[in-house]
Amino acid sequence: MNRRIDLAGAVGVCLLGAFVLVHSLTAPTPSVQNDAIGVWGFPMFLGGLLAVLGLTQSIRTFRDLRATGPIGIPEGTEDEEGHESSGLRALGFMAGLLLYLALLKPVGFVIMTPIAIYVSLWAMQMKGWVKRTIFAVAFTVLAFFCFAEIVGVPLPVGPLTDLFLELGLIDYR
Amino acid sequence: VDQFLGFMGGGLSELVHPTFWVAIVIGTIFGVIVGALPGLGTTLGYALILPFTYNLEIETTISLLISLTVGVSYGNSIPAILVGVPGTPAAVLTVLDGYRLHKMGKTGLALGVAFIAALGGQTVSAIFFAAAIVPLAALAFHFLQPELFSLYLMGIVAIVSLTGRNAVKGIIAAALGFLVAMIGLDPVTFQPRFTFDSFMLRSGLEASAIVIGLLAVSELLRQTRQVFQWDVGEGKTQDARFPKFRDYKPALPAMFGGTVVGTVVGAIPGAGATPAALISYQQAQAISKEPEKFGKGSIEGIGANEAAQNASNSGELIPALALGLPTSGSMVLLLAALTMNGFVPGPTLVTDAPELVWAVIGGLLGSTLFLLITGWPMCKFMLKLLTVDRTVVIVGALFMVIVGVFSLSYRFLDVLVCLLAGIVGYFMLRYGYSVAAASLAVILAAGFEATLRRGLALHDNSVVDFAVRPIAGPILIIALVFFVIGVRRTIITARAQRTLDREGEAVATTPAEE
Repeated sequence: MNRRIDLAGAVGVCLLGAFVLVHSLTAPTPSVQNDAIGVWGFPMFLGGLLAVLGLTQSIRTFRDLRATGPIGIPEGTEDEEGHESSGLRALGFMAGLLLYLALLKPVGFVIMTPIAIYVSLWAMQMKGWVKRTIFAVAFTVLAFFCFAEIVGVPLPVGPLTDLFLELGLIDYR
Repeated sequence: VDQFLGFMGGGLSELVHPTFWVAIVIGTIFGVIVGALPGLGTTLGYALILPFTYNLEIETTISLLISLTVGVSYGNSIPAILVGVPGTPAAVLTVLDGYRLHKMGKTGLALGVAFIAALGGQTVSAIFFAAAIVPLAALAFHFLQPELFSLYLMGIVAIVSLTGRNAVKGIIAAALGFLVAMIGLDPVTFQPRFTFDSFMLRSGLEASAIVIGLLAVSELLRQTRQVFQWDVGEGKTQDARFPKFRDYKPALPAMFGGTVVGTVVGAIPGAGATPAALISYQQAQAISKEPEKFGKGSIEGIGANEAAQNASNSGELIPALALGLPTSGSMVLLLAALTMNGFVPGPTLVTDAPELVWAVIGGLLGSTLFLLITGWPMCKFMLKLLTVDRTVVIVGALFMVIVGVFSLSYRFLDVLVCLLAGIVGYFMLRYGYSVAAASLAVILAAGFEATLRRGLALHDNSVVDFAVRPIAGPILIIALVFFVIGVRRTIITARAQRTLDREGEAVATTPAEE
């Protein structure tokens, strides 16, 4: 476990707690009779708790960092043994999924999804472009059929909207 | 006794009609599919199938809807165990133990215990429903805000046992979960909180999207770190045989406890399957001989959780049918189906239209019988799908979650929230912040705060009057006892873990020093 990242997380929690506390103390409060805890009572408590615990954890981690260096005993879930591991790939997936979501409406589900799945399978080192293509297309068709056609979920189809309306595949814009 | 025998006899007599069985088969299969798809749930399942019931007889409609509920409660545990994705929030705790067992290669044991607990919970609670609908309907009148708060508190206490080896990080995770649930309108005064003048944030963040993100997307993202190749031999050795009696025998008391808790808690207006599952899990851990295994692959945990959420199905029908009080979104739709057919839900419904109670009992028993025959083959089929290629499963599950969350309310904001929760959850997983504690806090926060504030207001802010009510008082004391036991166990486990860590570190550094 990288203690520098752990320390950054703990400091982040402390700052978040301080922000919540200040926001709760300064936000306008409606005068409501017979509400002892009030609108901001719970957020105030949570902000204070996060600030104190974040500070406690920061001090602990900082102490450990100075005593035994930046690499500590893992406290979270570790990688499974015997498989190649890459943190960058996970970060790539996070960025890729956010990009997929951003493009989903303008480009449409039936175009974006097979591309995104193909790239994901390639990133996960699945062998064979034919297999990757078949799975990407099959998943998209099946998901579109199940959700848009049967369940009636209005999945966006982007530039294909007019065509799909004409073909009777969708009844929404 | 006469009333009970009359209801049971009426329920069994419904099972001789072929159309009743058609409804049961369709409802159960559809329910299992809906339950297994992340983001969907009983309410959406009801909403989808209800338009097809307009021309059906009311008994057939009721049996279809009840079978769907039974199917969802069973179906949500399958992806929870096999992929670590809870089909519905009630299956959150099944993920903790079931998915761990799956990764340990004990898939058959996890699925088998969930299967037995689900069927046992359904059967016992159907009988309990027939026996208790009249007396429990009377009890439900006494559950006001303090009583509901005490139940939420029991659920919150369950978080204590999920904090992990670092209690500070565990409490931070739970507090973060609470904080996220504060976004939106205040439940008492409807004053906006943390919305920053954003119209989209005024209605709050969808709890299901956050929970799916924290529990499922985080784990899937963690798995994208690694490359898995099935063709080198792993994955095909998963034990998927049905467990022997001696293997699941230790979970039987937890299943029984879960069934009782599920039926009673489900019958309380405002409670439902999720608090029932949480409370049952907590009580099972408190009486377990191996409490340290909870959250790390405990069959007692799976048994208690699955039995409780399945048993709560018949529980929540009691206030809905006998009092006209819907305790969940799906019950609102059930009452809508009844009113469309000219029935007036309320205290007189049970005596005026006993055929509805018969249809409920027939639906519960029939769908349980159908699952007894087809439930295990369904599990095996889904397991076969998973052993094709783990890379395909990870990628497929990620995109299925995105579509499932979008289908909650057709909002891209929900998907964004789910992905962001998944990214935060990834770092929480890697650095020892309990995503389970955060998820439970998200689910329970709104009800916890609202019932406490409303309850205090009803008692002129007198904490004593609030706490000494005849039902709330004993539940609060039990919650306090569970809290003390939970904290003690967490401290002992954390100390033992730290000692092991230190010993491991010492062993690891010794050769270097030499």
